[in-house]
Amino acid sequence: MANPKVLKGVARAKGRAAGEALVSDQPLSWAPFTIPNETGVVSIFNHKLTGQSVKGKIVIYPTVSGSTTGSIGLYFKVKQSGVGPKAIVCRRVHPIDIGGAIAAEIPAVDNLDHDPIAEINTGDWVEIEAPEVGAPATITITPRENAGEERS
Amino acid sequence: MRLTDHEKAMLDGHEGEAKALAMERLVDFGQAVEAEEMVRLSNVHFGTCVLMPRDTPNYFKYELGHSPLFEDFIAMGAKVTDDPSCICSTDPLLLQIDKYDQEGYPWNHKYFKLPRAVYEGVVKGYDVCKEMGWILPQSCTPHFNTVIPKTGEYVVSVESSYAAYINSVLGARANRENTVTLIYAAITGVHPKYGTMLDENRRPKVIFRLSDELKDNLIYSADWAALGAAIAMKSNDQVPAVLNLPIPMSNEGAKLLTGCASPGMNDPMMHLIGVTPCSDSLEAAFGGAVPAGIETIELALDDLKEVYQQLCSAKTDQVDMVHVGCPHLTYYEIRQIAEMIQGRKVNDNVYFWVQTDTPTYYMAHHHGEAEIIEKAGGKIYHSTCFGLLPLRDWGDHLNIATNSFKGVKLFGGQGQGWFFGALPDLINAAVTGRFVSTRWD
Repeated sequence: MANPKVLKGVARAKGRAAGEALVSDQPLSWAPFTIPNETGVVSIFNHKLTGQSVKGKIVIYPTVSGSTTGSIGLYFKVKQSGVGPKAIVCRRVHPIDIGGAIAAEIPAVDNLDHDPIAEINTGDWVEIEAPEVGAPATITITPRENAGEERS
Repeated sequence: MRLTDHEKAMLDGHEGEAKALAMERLVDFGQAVEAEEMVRLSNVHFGTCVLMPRDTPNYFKYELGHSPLFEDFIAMGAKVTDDPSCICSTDPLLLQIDKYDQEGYPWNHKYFKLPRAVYEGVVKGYDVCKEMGWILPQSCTPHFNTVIPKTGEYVVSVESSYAAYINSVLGARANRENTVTLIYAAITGVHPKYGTMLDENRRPKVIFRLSDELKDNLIYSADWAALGAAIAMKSNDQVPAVLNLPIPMSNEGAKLLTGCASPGMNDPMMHLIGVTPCSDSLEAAFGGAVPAGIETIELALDDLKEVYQQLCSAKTDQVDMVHVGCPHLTYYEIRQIAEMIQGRKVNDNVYFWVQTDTPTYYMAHHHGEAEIIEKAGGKIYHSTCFGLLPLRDWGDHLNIATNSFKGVKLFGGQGQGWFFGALPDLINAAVTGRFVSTRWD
């Protein structure tokens, strides 16, 4: 079994999380008309993740796109309607998503020492330690083929 | 963060629990975005809340997400800031409330009806927000009706196209603001200073130059929206400086060009050389010599045509809805519509929706354009953003035609097919029920 990979970055919102990765190489919007608050299923014009659920996932994407309502959409899906992600990881967490993640009380991590889009695959098991805003955070990645074994 | 004595007093609770809570949350956000200080605001532009009981059917579908954040402050009896220099204003919401029961509007048509409980929640939200001290333009273009920020002022705005207009045309400063801290900003009148509020983040990083042919073909609102789209899609999130624009630029051109910010740009700042304050020249935009090696992208008419194609996703030529007014239409745009549709008849199978702000709506009624549009079978309305309605429930079989880049990109993933076209083609689509693009014939 391959050793888990560890990426080091910076916490933009604090917290700990563990879950399955959902990776997008396109920017993402948490707005209620792009990831509906009642479903958590992506429905974005010309977006490869359309049709996939973000519920309970650790979502990895380059940065935000689209509406500023992404902040309240992220908050609401996590704290109110229960279809939100467990954490977000970006090349750069845009302040739209920082505001949402803080209110949702989920970790948000960026400025990683390797490109998270290249290093993490959908289905990998990801663990995040992000104890303090602005301080170092770690992302531990267990590749998909080992993920079940790791969790059992 | 460095706080002023007044900000510290708010944080320490000397001005009540609401301001203390709001300041605490603003400081948290400020630390996360590495802000060093707060700025005093001249405008907070956010949305009215929708006050529905949690057990309302489909509560999760109709709550955009911000109302729970309001509820803490409503429970405290909080008011928005009493700083007379700071206006707290509002974006459009789900409907024009006095026409809730009338048929043929986006909130009430043969494919959808907004539930009464949601309508009642909107009305209750209006009333409570007024009591809090908000003024309610319910407009995504407050710079054309209610709030006109001046050079050097700071604004926080839910509305990205407004933020881009503030930065690029008015010379004031705003981010595409996160929609969590907007309520805290309204309570306190201040916000962390970061992003495109800071000089260093406003400088251009890429240059666009329009060909003369492109410059001479910016005729319709859709052309300006497509130009903004072309710049946004090629700028890769870098602040652009744009050369060879037609000057003087119409209000509509400026509105639609900067309107690309919401779907296409994360930093809502464009140096429109000759328009943007303090950017009379490329050197002025850069604050000195143009850096060596900076990328210059030549934009040709084909780039505009390509955007028109990219924003069309419909599989057939059938049109079920024609929507204009994202961002809200100006009076001049309404007049163009009235001139083109006068004496014609909207197809029985098509909804033709004309969306504007409140003053323009009444002006169009006063001068007769509204009557012309409605006599033709169209509907004109105000206070509304049709994209906030759950289009995903309307059916995948429908095709919608628009001249809004923002509309397609933000709302276009919910199942419907979309056409992007110039106004004459949209009017023809409304009349015939078929979309035929003639713009580049």
